Amino acid sequence: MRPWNLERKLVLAVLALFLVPTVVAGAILAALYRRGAFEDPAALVLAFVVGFVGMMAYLGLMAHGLGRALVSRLQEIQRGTELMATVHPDHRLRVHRGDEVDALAEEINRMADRVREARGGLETQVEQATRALSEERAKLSAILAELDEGVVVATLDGLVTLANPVAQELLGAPTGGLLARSLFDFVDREKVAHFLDRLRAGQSAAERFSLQPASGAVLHAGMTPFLGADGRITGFILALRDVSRPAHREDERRRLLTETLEALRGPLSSVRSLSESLLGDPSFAPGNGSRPLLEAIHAEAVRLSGLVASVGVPSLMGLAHAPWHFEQITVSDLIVVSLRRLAPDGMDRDAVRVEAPTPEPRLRAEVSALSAAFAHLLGHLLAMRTPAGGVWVRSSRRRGQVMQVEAGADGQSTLARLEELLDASVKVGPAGRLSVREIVRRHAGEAWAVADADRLAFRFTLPVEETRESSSTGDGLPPSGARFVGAGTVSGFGGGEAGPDWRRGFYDFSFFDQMERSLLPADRARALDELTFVVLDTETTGLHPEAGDRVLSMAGVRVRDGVLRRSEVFDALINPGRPIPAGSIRFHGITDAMVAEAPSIDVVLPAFLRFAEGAVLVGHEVWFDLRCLEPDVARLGLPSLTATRPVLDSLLLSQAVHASASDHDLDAVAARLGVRIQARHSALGDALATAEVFVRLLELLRKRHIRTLGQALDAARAVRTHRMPRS
Amino acid sequence: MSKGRVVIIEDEPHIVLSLEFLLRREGYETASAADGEEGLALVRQLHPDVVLLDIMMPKRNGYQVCQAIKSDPDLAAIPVIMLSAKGQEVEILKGLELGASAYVAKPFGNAEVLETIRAALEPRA
Repeated sequence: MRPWNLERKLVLAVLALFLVPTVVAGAILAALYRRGAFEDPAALVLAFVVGFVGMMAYLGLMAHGLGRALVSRLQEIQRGTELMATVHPDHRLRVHRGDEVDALAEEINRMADRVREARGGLETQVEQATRALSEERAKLSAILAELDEGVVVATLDGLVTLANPVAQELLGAPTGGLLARSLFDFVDREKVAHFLDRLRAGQSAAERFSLQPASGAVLHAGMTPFLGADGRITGFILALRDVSRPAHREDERRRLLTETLEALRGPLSSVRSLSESLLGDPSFAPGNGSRPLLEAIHAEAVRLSGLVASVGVPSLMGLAHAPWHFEQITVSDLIVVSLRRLAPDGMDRDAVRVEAPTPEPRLRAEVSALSAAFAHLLGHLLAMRTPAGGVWVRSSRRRGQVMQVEAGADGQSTLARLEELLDASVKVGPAGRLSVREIVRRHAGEAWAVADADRLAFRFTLPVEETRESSSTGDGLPPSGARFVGAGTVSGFGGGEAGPDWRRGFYDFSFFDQMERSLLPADRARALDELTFVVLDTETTGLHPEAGDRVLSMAGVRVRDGVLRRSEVFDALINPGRPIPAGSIRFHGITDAMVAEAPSIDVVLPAFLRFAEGAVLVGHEVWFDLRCLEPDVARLGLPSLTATRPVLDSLLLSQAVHASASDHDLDAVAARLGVRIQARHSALGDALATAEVFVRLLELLRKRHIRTLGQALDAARAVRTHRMPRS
Repeated sequence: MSKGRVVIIEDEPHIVLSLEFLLRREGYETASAADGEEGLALVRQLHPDVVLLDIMMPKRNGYQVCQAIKSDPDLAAIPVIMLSAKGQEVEILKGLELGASAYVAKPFGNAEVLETIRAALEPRA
């Protein structure tokens, strides 16, 4: 039995509530009576009114205090229980005075202990299962290591989770290998995405195509999907085989054949025509002794002409230039791939209309190169069209095995300008640059430009692949779900009042607004559980990038499937190209000597963007980091950090989850959520801490039924709209 | 009496020689140029009845010359016959799309050339 239980406290409190004022009022009344104050009726009324008001005020204050004491303790228990049940199992409720409320807290603490013990058992089981899985993985790795083919296992967004040494060699991966790198650092993303889309759309069970990594090798790739427990495709396996040498040999053979045939045709024409002309000349009339010789020359010329024609004309497909290896693709699909290549900024990609025959024949195309060529031309057509004008791609089957494709727009231009665009070089996957004309020529095709009074166009003739399947294709592919597509630009920051003092002044909510406007509804609907996040942090020479402060160090860490991936980190020191102020060295500990040999931001930033490709950016007061990086992003001509991906701020999410808490800087949020920060004020240390905080916030958001990216952005917006005053 | 004036734009001198020999014997007047720019100037100067145009040539290729002829209102009506060493459908189609009337693939016979020129001139007769 507790000496002071809640019931007794309440009874005593209520008694005290009434007893104290009654005694006080009685004493006052008695004193007044003794002084004869009640002989005056007005004084009596006044005493009554004052006494009544005083009594009510006293009762109100006491009731409020009593209720507040009780409710605040219950709120504390609710918050603590939620933390124990979700992100901070070691947290325990404080027990104060030993009443029923404390008994409840003690009971919850005991229950948490039991849950912890049970979880410990579970963790042991998970550990055992993980160990078994690791052994299986080691066995699989050993088998893969013995294969002659390269094998890469990757997630839908291209993250390599398993690769054998042959694959590493074929793709030209540096020391450190392919693991945890993006496959798209080495091969053409859009081409892989195109064939992945075909798998996801159920158009085939496996895809075969070629890849040309930056190493210059020609690889035959076989792509097969692997499925998650729910039957959906969660990743893919690529089997890679080097066909460079046979391809180059074949290329040489074809080139020689082509050149020889072409070189023969001119002289043959001359010999044939001249001999025919001489045979018709009176000086070589029948009876002339030389005529049989001339007739023999003419007969041989005619025979050779027949031979050259029979070899040359049907070999249209064979003359498409190796070492490229060609895939089959419809024009519609090719345009889908091409449009993906266009930077989203200011490009109305939906304005491109595709008209194709049904059924749609397949081109014989090297998808990386041809889609890069079309992307280049379509980008210019979109820019050159008249404001209300359209852009179209029309394809039609022409004579024989030839497809004519026209990419055009309403607008005006000169023929010379359009020809320049055909001669301009475009990036062809990671392997190099070629002009549009050369790309088309390598497809055994022709390209030319047309400029009329009110429209401009590029026309192509391209060979069609004759296959049994060609009549069954032709549907446009669904857009890839593996990456974000957005439009719009993001500008700078202004002032604000949230956050720790040293970063105060860097919030500009228009940044959020513009980022959200650029998001597609499909992106907003994506589940947080399915997304990959890269948690970012930077250290800088100071707080004023607009005044010349530069980034000194940047780090990123991936969060995937709701789990912090400690092995998937990006961490780089950066030479800022200017002295580091002593004041900031005290803060982050990075000295001039430490960055003397470090690469510049020109090298580090593109590498970071590749690391973060396809991921949602997250940071604690992330806008400060972005503001520091944006000038370099713009200078290097890179896509804006926020234009093609959503950005979440863990500070705002913390406010959304724990509105009653007063402090939301990283230290306070980490302490509240049971995260221990190591190496505070280093980019990697802070990024890791923020990532751990973010993982816990995700769980708390889920409990509040915030499950999609759009809902998380809305929650953050509600915080900044209602709780953070605009500057 | 001349059957018509033919401008031959071709960079292989033996082919020019054989075509000129053939066409003059058949009653055509001929003039020739060895590259695209010179050929275009010749067409502008002579306004011939037909142009025999090689594709692969220095300075301006046959496609560019054809496009220039067809985009010039004064010259657009002149039939252009393309001569090519490749003889592939993509080239033939491109030539015809750019306004060529006909296409002769090398190696050609005299009869083929004469018949193609006759057919090209026929609507004008």
